[in-house]
Amino acid sequence: MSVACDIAVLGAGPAGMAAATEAARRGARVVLLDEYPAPGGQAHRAAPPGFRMPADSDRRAGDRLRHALALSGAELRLGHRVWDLAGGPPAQAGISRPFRIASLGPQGPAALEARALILCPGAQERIIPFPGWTLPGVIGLAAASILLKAQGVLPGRRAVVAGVGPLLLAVAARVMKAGAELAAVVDLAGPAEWQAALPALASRPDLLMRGLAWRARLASRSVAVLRAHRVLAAEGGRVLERVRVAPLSGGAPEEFDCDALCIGHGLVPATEAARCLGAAHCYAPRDGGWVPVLDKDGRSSVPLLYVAGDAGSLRGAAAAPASGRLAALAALADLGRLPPRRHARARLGPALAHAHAVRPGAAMAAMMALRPALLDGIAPETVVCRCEGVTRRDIEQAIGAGAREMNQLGRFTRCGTGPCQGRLCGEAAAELLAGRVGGRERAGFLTTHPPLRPVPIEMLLGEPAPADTAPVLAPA
Amino acid sequence: MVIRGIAAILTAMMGSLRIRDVLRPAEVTFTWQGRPFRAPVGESLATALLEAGIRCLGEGPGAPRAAFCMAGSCQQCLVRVDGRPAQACLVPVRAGMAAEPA
Amino acid sequence: MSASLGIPAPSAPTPRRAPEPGFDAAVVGAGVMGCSVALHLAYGGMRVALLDRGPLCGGATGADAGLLGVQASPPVLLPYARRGQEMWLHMAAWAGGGHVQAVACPGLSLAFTERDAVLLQESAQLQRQAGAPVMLISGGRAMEIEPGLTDKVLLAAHCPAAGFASAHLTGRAFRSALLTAGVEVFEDRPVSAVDQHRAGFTLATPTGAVHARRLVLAGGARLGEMAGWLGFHLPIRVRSRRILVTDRMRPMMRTVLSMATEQLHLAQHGNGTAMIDSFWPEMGERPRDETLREAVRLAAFAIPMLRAARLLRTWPVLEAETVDALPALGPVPGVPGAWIIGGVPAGYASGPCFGMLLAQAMLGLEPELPLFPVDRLPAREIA
Repeated sequence: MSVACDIAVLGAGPAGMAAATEAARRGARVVLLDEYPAPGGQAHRAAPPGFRMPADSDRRAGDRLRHALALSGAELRLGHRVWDLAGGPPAQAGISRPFRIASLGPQGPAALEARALILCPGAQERIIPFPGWTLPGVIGLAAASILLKAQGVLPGRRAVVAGVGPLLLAVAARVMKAGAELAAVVDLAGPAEWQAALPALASRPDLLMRGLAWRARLASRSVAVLRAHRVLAAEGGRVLERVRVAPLSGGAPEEFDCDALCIGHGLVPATEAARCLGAAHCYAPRDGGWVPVLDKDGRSSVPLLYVAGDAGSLRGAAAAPASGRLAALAALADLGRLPPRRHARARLGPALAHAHAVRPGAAMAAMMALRPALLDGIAPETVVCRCEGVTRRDIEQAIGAGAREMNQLGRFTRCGTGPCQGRLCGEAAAELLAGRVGGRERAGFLTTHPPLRPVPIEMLLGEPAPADTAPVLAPA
Repeated sequence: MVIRGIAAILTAMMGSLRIRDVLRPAEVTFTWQGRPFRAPVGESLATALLEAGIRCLGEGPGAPRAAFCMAGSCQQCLVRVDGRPAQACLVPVRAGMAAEPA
Repeated sequence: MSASLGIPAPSAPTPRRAPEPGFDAAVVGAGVMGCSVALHLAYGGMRVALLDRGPLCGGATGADAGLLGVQASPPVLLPYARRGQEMWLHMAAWAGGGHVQAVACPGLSLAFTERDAVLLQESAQLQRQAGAPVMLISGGRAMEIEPGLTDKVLLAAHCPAAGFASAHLTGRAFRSALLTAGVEVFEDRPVSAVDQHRAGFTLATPTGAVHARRLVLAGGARLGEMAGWLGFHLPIRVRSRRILVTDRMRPMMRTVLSMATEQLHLAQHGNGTAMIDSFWPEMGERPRDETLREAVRLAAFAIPMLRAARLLRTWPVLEAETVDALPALGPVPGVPGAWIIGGVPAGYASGPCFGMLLAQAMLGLEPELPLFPVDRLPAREIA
């Protein structure tokens, strides 16, 4: 059941596709795993089979990466949920121990052994809670983007689009183009922040032009674009009915009737895979938060373990392929499959492309960095951890009762111990804790153990009804 | 504002959320709590339920649960499909699929 | 309540004294054992410092599955386990209102094979001799007690007095009691070395030394290393367990289940999550994912409805075990004023009891149950 390969790549987004392509083209045996049935990741997510979406630049970029991947010879394991990662070479030089990747695929449980491992799990959205955020009708900005781009469905008939970052305008423009009513666009960033970001964005005229076109479209429909504003509350009975909005500086709130609120407060690198393998991390708000400590080619603190794309540092989909290629080349060099001089030559191209693409990405990452002011908007009775129903008051009480670190907060309140494993509440809870213990480094993060995502037990067992005899446990 | 609100509710009661210029495969029938609905085969169950006007997918410990991240991460759209736990945003609609709250 | 339990009643909270250069006792390790010793020493009037390199009960204690009265420990430990369970169930009475949501329920130990059945009969007999009301029952009868159970049970041992606690709450439960009793709690205060002198002990920590007349080593899995500070070799090994948790299910279990082989215990908590405590070592050659799948397979064999759940979280628990699997509970030989506590697997259930007993001995009282001095072990001085 366990298969050996040279390099395993986790995550088939732009970084993962490029990494797998680069390594396989150069003759390595490469396996690329992803939970989705088609490569693409969130930025270039493929439509379901049989669906045809209007082409746009994101889709075309994704198609180019998919095409190159298909020709590269990399083996694809799609529809695989990776739930355990273990192994890796011991820190001291010696016998190399392969990484072991346990997944649940369409044919049941599978395991893969790889000499080197490149992690490209991307990022997830940060949403700082506010009153009413659990109402049906409130969804993430990234979620809205997926609905619009990969499913061809509107999030609602009349939407408020709110939050911060490049997804904000993109989703607003798509909602309008697709024929829904756009009640308001509520941008946390003020005009001065956009102006400050402009020089960095100018290094990618294509992205800049697209942003300006979106902005022009909004202006032409006289949509209320509220800059330096925040959502105070989502309101309604069983479902969302209206959103209350106010300037960040204070001032009178405005109300907008709507049946969809698409809101996101930036992206956070997905680090659980790297943490599960014991890679060192540091807290870098302008890279997205907790990020693995990496060298310029994506090498982590664990030998033969690499991280590429947004999971290493938020630099956007445009910078991800170059980052993936750099990691693949480093892995080939470290495995002895690429002599040092050839490696030095080969990495020049992607290094240059990466340096060019990271500027706008860094500007956007800075804009998406966590804004502590949003914490004021969490009311005491607002649920922070949805899975376990933990409110801000519960968290404050636990901190008062001596919780000073995320794992302890989890023990005291169950915050972050439910099915989402802290993905939805972790940022807000950590920030609430950080405010009391003197910073995010002190607050720490939830220790990662398998399973990396919840796994249905029936799938984990992987065969039909149990036999009549009890399973015999092998002695250690 | 009030009139606009009423207009929004009226539009909400008619018309599809599915964007017009997308080509989709043939529709199939699936059920939610025994009620039949139709959706193009392969559309995600979370999307199909949204289109069907079903926003609340279950009761969480703190609040009603609804699809939220659409990317397999938040676990808010946990349902049962043919008796097995599944995330609605990751499950493609198939003919005859029977879904219910978890 | 506390009087009926024979525990020294907490005296009225006294105002915290200004920090003095020395403590009557320093307890190193703030798991359940260390917290219990510290609390009971303070109740006895000592000025106590409690140090840990992490947060209160942040190690094996907070990570424990919290199952009570299930381990078929050597029968000699049964009175301690029962006393410990009693203390957990009535924790609020002796810990200033702190509690771990402990509940009592029956325990069932299961045999699926003839070999299991023999094991079960032997251990049931030993436990009865030690005074535990254990009864052997048929699989059918076991299904009446535990409706979620498989019909494949050959023989079961029924113990009316089991239960479980929410171990993750232990640190929270102890904290206010410790502070109210005047214990100085030093979290994130790793001790790197201990200097022994005529006046007692000086503990070296990165943020300054701590002086105390007496020393208690309560370091859980690090107990052997701590004994080394005093030049004492404790024959001990570190064992690993793994706890597995499912997502919330409808209430279906009413008992704490154990396998006759002691490899796995299982209970459903009040919030609907099922907790599997798996005991077989995973440090060997077998890949972790396979070991985890085996644990899940066995649990789902016993409770078939688990197949409809999802595995949500797992984590390892490290604990120390002496060579004879009995506690290290008593004075450190040859080091006056130094005491040791721990070294017993599944120590959570008995932990508060062991802590109380050691405190009684240190206070010059007769412990209500005998200690387990470590000079019984093949100890030797470190060269």
